Amino acid sequence: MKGRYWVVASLALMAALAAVVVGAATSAGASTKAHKLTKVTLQLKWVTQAQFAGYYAAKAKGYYKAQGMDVTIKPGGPSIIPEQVVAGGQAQFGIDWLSSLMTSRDQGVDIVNIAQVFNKSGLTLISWKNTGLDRVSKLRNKKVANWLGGNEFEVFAALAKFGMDPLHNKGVKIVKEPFSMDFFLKRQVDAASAMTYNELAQVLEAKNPKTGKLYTLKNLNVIPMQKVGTSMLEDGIFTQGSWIKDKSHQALAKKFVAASLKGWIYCRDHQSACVKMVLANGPALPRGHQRWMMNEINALIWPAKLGVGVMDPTAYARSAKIVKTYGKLKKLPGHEAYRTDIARAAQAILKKQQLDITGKNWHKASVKVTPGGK
Amino acid sequence: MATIAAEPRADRRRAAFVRSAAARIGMLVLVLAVLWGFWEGYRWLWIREGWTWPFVVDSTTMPHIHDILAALFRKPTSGTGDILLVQLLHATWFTAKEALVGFALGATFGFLLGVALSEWRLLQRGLLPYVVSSQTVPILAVAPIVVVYLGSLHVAPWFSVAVIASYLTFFPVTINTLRGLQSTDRRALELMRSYAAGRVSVLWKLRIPAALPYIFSALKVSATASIVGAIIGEAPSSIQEGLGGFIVNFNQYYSLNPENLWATNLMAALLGIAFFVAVVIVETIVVRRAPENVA
Repeated sequence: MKGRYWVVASLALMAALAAVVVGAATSAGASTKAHKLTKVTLQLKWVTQAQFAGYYAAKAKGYYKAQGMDVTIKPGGPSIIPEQVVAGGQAQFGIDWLSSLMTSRDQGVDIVNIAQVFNKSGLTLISWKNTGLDRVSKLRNKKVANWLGGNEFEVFAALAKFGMDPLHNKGVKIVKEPFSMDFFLKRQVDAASAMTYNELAQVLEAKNPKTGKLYTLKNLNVIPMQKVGTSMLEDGIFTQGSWIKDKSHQALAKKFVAASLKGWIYCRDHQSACVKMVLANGPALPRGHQRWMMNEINALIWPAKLGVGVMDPTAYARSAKIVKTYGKLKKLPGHEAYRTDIARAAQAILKKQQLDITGKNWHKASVKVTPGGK
Repeated sequence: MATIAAEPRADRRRAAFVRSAAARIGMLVLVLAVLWGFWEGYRWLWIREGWTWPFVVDSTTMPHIHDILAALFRKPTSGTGDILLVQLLHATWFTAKEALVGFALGATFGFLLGVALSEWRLLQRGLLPYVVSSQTVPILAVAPIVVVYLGSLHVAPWFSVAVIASYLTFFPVTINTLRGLQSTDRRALELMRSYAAGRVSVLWKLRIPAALPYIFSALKVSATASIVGAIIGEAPSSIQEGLGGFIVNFNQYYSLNPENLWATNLMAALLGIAFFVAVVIVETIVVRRAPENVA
């Protein structure tokens, strides 16, 4: 007889637990505290790292709050597409490369760039010094790695510039690059794609097994896409096209962009403080690596000729052409994919606060590489 | 007579318990030692011979076990922050909560579905193919859909993860509940019928107790699956506090600090074992106390 009570008890327990949990989950979601602060969500392109330091700084320093916003920063990851999160209404704003915004728009996703934060490309091709592959033209019939999935356009355009046909693997062999740089350290490819702020540092943070010392830039050929002339614009802030038509949303967006750019200005002037803020949100991140990344990210933003956040039409046109060709878009992305009024209004807010929005005098610091990025 | 006999019996029982516990611990240590030996031996041999098949062996592909354990007690980042073990324990606890809720949801739903399918034949014919096909859709494809759908209902992100975990959990429970309910002893069934027992009391007093061993073997499978589901579900939900977040992060820096990823996997495995053991303990309590085992 006893046995049955146990069955009943355990079933009841399971059911009760499930019920409590459902209740808790929904009430936790619904109880948006009705303070004066407007709830805003920002979806990042990738996991927490110094690439997004400006937004974390804007939150930590209370810049968002000062503009009447309570901002939730959602980290990205391998299975998160910021364009879809924003288009689906799960976030008001998103961060992604301009090329990916153009591709999404071509597929009918209603999103629009409202502030172009990075004005230079951080993408490079790297090879080992002793291979002598120090120019794109020398990569003919070589094995070149890229992450693909929309990250390959700059590299493809660079290879095509020198007569190779990467789309059809003619004259060059394209291989898929994994997230970790191990394959390059093991010399499984001739050249690999590397962001100045991430993968390049990962190579420099690794030890040469023969000498037991860290690799240095002297061991590498680094070919920046910025120099090849096939650079595209990367991280920018975008939002939903239909959402931003509303006047009150435009006002909100202006404040959000102003606070975000103020965060980036803070990170320009206080690199190490910003690294700390990033680490506070990602405590397991290697600190030396983040310090390197912060410096390199600043180099992609500053100096900003047009003032931080405003789209450069020439760079935009170049990006659009490259994406059209290598992303196989139906039509060339026009000026309707971005607007500068929001960023300009944001700049006006910042100028009123006597902030330097161009960073003319900013110079890259020299960051010492640490073993293992620690 | 009885009181005299009882004392030595209790003593004997205690001695047997101590012996079996010692044997178990000894076995555990032995197995761990053998596994350690295999790993390090394989590593040593492949490096010494320079074999590259099936993969190159070095400190990145196969870090030393002691390096992995040491990584747990180091800070993953210089200066501030806790040691990795503390950070991972927080992450494990976070993922455990998601998995537990997912397990409870999945097990409850799976059980009720199993009962419904066994009670209504027509339902079984109509629904079972879809239940089966639900598991051929990869969880990686289901996870983002669940996150987007529940996200639009303003449900807390961790709850989406629990739902994803429950998706992996319910299936074995449904199938085994169904199988268990159908495997009732015919003679017992006939006896119940001869007492004119109704459908509900046959189910409650006979079928479900008889199905318990089946259900519990499903729960053991589900317990570990719920953790896999929770870890996979964390990625599309933007959750970085759990083991899934740590895995994505350490994957990115694998060439620099491979030990961190291995250490995270170790914690995930330990969590799986903990869940499994918890189900086994509940099983011992519930099934052993069932009338047929007490007698």
